Amino acid sequence: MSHRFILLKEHFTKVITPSLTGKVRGGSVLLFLLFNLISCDTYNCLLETNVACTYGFYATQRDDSGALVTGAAVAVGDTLTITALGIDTVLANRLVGQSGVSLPVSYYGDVDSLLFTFSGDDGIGRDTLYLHKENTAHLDDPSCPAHMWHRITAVHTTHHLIDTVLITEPQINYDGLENLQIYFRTAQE
Amino acid sequence: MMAWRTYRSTSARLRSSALALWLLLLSPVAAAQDTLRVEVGDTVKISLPKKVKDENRFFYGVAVGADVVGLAMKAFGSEWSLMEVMARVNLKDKYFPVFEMGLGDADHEGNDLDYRFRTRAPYFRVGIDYNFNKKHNGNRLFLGVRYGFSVFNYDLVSPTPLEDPVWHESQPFSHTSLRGSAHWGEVLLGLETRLWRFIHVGWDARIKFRITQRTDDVGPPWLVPGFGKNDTSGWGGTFKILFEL
Repeated sequence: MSHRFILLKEHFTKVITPSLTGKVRGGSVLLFLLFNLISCDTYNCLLETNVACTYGFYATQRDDSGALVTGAAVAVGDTLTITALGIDTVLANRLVGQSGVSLPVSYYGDVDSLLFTFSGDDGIGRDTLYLHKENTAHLDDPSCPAHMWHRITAVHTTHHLIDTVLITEPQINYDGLENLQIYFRTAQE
Repeated sequence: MMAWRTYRSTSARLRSSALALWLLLLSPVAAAQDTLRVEVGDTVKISLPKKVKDENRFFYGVAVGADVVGLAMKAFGSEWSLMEVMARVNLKDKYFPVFEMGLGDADHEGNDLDYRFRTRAPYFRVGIDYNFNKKHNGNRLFLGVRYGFSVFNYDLVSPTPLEDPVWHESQPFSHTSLRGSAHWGEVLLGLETRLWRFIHVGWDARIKFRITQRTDDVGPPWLVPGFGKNDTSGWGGTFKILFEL
């Protein structure tokens, strides 16, 4: 340590020539302070790190050619319960009047099988949705918790009440974007 | 052939004296002086003092050195260090093209969590320093720029498996040999002095800014070799010992 200060003294006595005194000397002191303050270590972990697949609910409408007309959002009138098959865990329980839902995604499975159960005055209807995906661990900083990110590769479904499923955003991460659009059969169909 | 008396004067005096000598050569009849006598037909060789020639030369030499901060950090067990050596050319004692290369080393464990970042990879920088001190006394005040790059592998690991809270599955969190690369620029202000003969010491403070960076999807590196803590910008510095050859 003392050797370092001897060297620093050499700087200020030899390098700072008479024509460079004043501003340069002040600047040198400032640089020295900055040089010794660079070891500060802070990292603020992201607060919003919920990773979930976001589903939007839409009513199926078709044009004269039979092509699907996208974008007609709808609130599901029946009571909707969504269960993860294989572990028999309820992911969403008795949703009413919802126009979308965000559901957790399995960390390591290649396919998540989700059972959509609709119960209403007309009885009970069920559909199974298969979410094919790739999984990637993600760590922003060693001081923050790790998460799993996913990329949707395909979606298959039964068609009792679900007409079509569109992948609108394959990446499932912190963004919270709508990943899937589920088009339900309507009374007209 | 005649000897030239050593001068101690400024360059202006040297130039006027040299001009006077040439006049004497062109006018042999006016050559009657106390210390200088030239006859017609004599061959006179005139050489300027060595110091003047030295100060006006283009190539002043090369220097090699090492940053002792990185070595000290490593020696004292710091979790990261940038150990580097450098070589530079001295042109007119004003322009100093520089090449720096080093080894970035880190083994960092996160706060409160078990995640760990590791890397050990080389990095390179090229650039130039400009010396503001017009006196050729070995003391220098530098303003410099650098371009740096590194291609590196890094690990993100944890001894604790990452467990799925819903499906209740877990797998080891062990991601090794992740590929990364980074390009950045630096602007530095530095001081240097001659410590003894050909040995110089100097230090500089640098502001660094990212140009581009490519990292693995698993996560960004905690430290970029040569750049320091990973961010879009940052500060750094060196404390060098140099040997001027």
